[in-house]
Amino acid sequence: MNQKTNNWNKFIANYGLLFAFIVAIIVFSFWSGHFLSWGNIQNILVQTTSLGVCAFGLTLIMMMGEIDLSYAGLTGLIGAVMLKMIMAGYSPIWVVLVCLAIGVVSGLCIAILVVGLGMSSFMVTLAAWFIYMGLERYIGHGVTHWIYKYDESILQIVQGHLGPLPIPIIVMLGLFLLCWLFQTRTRTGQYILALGENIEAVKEVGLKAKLIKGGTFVAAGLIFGLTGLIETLRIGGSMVYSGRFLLVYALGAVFLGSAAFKAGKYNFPGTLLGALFFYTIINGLTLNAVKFYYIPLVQGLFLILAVAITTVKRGEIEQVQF
Amino acid sequence: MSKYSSDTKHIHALNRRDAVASFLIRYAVFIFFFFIYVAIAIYRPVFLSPANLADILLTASLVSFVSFGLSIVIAAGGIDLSFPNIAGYGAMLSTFLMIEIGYSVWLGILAGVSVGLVIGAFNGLLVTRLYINSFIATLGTLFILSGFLYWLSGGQSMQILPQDFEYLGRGTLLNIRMPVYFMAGVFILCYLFMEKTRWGRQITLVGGNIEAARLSGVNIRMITLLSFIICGLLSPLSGILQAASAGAAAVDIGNRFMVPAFAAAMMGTVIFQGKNIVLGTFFGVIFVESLNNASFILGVSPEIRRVVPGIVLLATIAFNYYAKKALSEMRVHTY
Repeated sequence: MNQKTNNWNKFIANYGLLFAFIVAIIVFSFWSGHFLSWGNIQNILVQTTSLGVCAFGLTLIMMMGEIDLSYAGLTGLIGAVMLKMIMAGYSPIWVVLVCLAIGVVSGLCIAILVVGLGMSSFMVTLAAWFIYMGLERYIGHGVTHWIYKYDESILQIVQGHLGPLPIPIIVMLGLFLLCWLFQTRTRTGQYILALGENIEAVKEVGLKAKLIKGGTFVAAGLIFGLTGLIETLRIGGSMVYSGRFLLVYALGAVFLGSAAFKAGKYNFPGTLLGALFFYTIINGLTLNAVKFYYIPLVQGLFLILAVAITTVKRGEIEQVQF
Repeated sequence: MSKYSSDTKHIHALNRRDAVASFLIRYAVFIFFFFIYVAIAIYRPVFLSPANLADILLTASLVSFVSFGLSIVIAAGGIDLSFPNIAGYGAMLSTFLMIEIGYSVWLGILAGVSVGLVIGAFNGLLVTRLYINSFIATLGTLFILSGFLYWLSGGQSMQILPQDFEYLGRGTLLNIRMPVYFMAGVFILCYLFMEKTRWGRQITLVGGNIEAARLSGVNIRMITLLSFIICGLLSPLSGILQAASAGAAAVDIGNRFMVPAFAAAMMGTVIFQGKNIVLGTFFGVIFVESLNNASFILGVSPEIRRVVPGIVLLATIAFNYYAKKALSEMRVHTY
């Protein structure tokens, strides 16, 4: 009997979010006939791309028990740099390479400060976010520029299709598969998770904990660079602080994801589900002309409820240390 | 080095040198800012004019309430990301009640502050009863509150505020604006609470070592809850006084506190090596806002001005890291 309720609790904790997601889809599809049309599903998926990609990078970091807020500023900074380059007439390949390079350099700087010097990742990346916001203003002067006025060809990256699927969806799903397989199927991926669980044990085994940690920060930097690229192209221009909304949504998606499949642990399928969940709520409520301010309300409630399901049995206050 | 030396004179000399060094390391942030202020004052003497100092105090006072609240939550081992929206919601609700419903000024403010208290308690209960990580819980609250903010106001800003209300933000006493006096009062209360009362000491203990706190019989739940309630209680004050001094309350009124309050609270937690956080946060607020002010006076372009808090924050953290390391090494060598 006890075993049975225990299993039931586990099942709820692991699949509760998936169940809620399915219920939400069913409700929305009855509420509005267009919700399940292929066009709308594509729409949701394309909208999720930048959030999804960003959240994958964040999941990698949070698996190690660290945090990275730099993406919130990096996205806008990359947008500003990108528009500068496009306006100066650089070819799309250069633009893409430079954007990704900015992400890598950012990841490297954070890795040096956090892993090399042992500073708190929260504070370092908080400062990095502030600095990037300032740099963005310095480079872009807070002016919105639209890409189509200067160079149409680079927009093909997000507007093109590969078979029936738009390219952004393929990028997101491809990155998801890459991260997921890397994390679950390779040794290094397992070590990343182990770093978050028990860093001393990892050191005892004789692994280069610092190298793995630094490498993960750089990889996440690259992913955040990709986020900036996709987000700017998806918007079609550089807007002031365009990464700001990502700050809370990406954190929300990762936390929501930690409440699915492997309750209480960060995992990539959960993150993908979390990201999709956020945009499904936005999309479903918008389709039915629900007032826009109910959207964050519903999302916030879902976030708290979903995480509470997995934590309520813990019986211990979890502290945040800097 | 001196540990095994039999030359007592040598030890004495070393100790004195270490004493000077440790003093310099401990107060490096203050020394650093002292030189910055001197440099700015030589370049632009108007920086030290009474009118400008009063202006720095005013902008600092508006941010100070959220910063105190945030640093107390951080001291208890939590984090409150919802403070910009608590500040905004408190301000919008109290001005809404005054303008639309016709509440008196004091009743409106009381409502704004008490709704902050309720939100703080909500955050605290999520953390202490449902055991949600405070980062996630307050992120959820941030979402919910931003929905409520628009629900309340429909995106409209509250204007044409009562005269008495605006007096709280714009009125002066001895040439100093009213919010500065409120900051002084709240600072003294927070300082006494954190340093002199049992609950305040327990907050620091819970944040420093939760196991030790549990073993010494501290009611961890109550103390953690208390820290969130204090943050919720203080945050609306920033929003309300900001609305009173600007003469209007907009939906995004709390967002301007985000960067300076974080920077000030983080500085506050590290400036005295983790001790005396309320005083540290006070200095943090003054440093952040005076640099902001100085960048106006120096004619720094608005683009670069936005980089400043980030760099100051990073520099302070880096300083703290080296200070801790240097001080601990010094102890190893001298004793």
